[in-house]
Formats: sequence, C-alpha cells, structure tokens
Amino acid sequence: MLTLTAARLGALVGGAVVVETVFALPGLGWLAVAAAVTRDHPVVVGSVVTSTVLVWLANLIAGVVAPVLDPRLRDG
Amino acid sequence: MRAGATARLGLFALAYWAFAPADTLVDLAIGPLLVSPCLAHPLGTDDLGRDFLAAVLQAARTAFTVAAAAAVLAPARGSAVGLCAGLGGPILDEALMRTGEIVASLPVLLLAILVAALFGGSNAALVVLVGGTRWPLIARLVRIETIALSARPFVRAAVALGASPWGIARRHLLPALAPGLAAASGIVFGGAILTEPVLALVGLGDPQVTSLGQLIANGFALVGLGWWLWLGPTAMLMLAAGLVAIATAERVEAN
Repeated sequence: MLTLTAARLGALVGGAVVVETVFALPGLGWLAVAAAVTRDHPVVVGSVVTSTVLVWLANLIAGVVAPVLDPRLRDG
Repeated sequence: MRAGATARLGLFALAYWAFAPADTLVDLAIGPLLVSPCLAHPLGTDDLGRDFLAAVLQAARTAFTVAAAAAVLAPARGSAVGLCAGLGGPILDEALMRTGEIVASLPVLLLAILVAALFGGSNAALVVLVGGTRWPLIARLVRIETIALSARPFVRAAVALGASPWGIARRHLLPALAPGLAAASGIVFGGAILTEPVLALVGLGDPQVTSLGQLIANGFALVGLGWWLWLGPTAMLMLAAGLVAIATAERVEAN
C-alpha cells in the first residue's frame, strides 16, 4: 500500500501539472509549463529535476519505512 | 467479456472513423461561423466556420497514432529487457530490474514538458519518451514469466538440445508471452492516449497537427460562444479513454 502510494506519486505530479495550469495555481508544475512555453530552459530543467528528485526521494523513504511498518518485509 | 468485446469494436470503429477527414485544420472547408450542432454539422462549426466534427476526428486520430506507436515501442523494449533479465545471470538481472525501478518512478509528464521545451512540441519525441519510460512494468511481467517458463519441461528440453538463449526466447518464450504482452500494451495505450492531449492542453503539443487538448483549451475559452466547442473534444477524449479502459480491463482479468 505504502509502496504503491509512492509509486503513484509520479503520476500525481503529472496530474498536478494539468490542474495547476488549468486553475492558474502557481505551483511547480505550473512553473515548468510557463517556463517551457516561454523557452526559459534553465527554469524548465530546474523544476523538472527538482520534482523528479522529490518523487525519487518519496519512493526511497517508502522503501525504508515499509519494513518498519510491516514486520514481514524485514529479513532475518 | 461482452463489454470488453463491444468496447474493442467501438474503439476500432472510432479509429477507422478518425482516419476519414482531411489532414489538418487548414484543409477543412470554411463555411458559416459558430453554427450550433445540426444535421449538416453534427458538432456545429468553430469560430472560423470549419466543421467541428471533422476537427475532433482529426484530433482523435493524432491521439490514437501517438498511443499506438507508444504501445508498440514500450512492449518491444520491455520484452527485450525482461527476456535478458530472465535468461541472463543474477548480476544482469539485478542491474536491469533496478534500472527499471528508477525509470518507472520518473514523472513522465514532467519529462515530456522538458522534452517539449528543449526540442519543441513534437509527437515523435513524445512517442520515444512514453515508449522509453513505460517499459519497466512490461519488463517485470516478462521477466517473471520467463523465469516461470524456464522451469517448464519444453524449455528445459530445448536447453538440453543445445538451443541458444536467443533461439529459446524467440521460438519458445515469446509465443507463450504474447497474450500477456498484448494486455500490457493495452495498458500503455490507455496511458499514452491521455498524454498527448494533456501536453497539448497546456500548450506544449505539436502545433502542426490537430490535438484534442488543443481543441479543449480553445473551446474552453470560447465556451460562452459555443458550448459544443468545449464539449465535443472533451466527450471524444472521455469516450476514447473509457473504451480503452473497458477493453483492457477485461484483457488483464483474462490473464
């Protein structure tokens, strides 16, 4: 469950892009799209790398926390 | 079973229908502006007087083409990686599967924005991106099936006869993996059919081709002038995505 939630986070960040753009919420996804439309390459790269690293970190944390919550995942 | 077969039939009909009208918006005949839906124009005409149903069908064709290309590319790559991981040694297996996990956790849509910013809105780049990031799921499926099949007598007999791993993969494993691969490519297709419209919706699609996202974004701005300009492409997108969902759900359950 926890692992799955973390795995779906990537899709969630993608969904946030749409929601932020449609409703003009100044979030990370909106920043990426606005920068992409104006060809502001460093900002696009920065925002995409930031959110990708955040998603990876969330996955890592989920991987570390899962054995703490579920004893069956601990080895030995 | 009946629902899935009907959905698949509807999807084929929709795809066939979508390939009927002229190439791009520029090629459509111009008539009276903003006509409400009627018999001559089932979805009315847009703010430049073009038949809107033809525009929506062109857009659906774009989405179908991108999704179909991604649904070929991802299973091809996924089965290649999965077979290598399943048949190769434990080190190769570990390396490929961990790489797969890293790729699987990438936010695809954000990478698509990055690609659109660097190379301009291009559907070819989008296909490569979706095909290049949606393979780990299929690779995992193929790997586990490969390992399971490798223990079966017919594969062990092939090994005993001195068949090469490539020959075993091609003659014995791939035919057995085909039904699972078909279901998995349906899942990729369902995801990809939404990716292209979403990118076009935020203004990062290919400006040369008609897209559902582009039509929805334009229609939303004009919704006070003609509700069909927003409802038409939105309904088409939901119909296509819904049919894909029903068609794949049954295939996945069957496996």
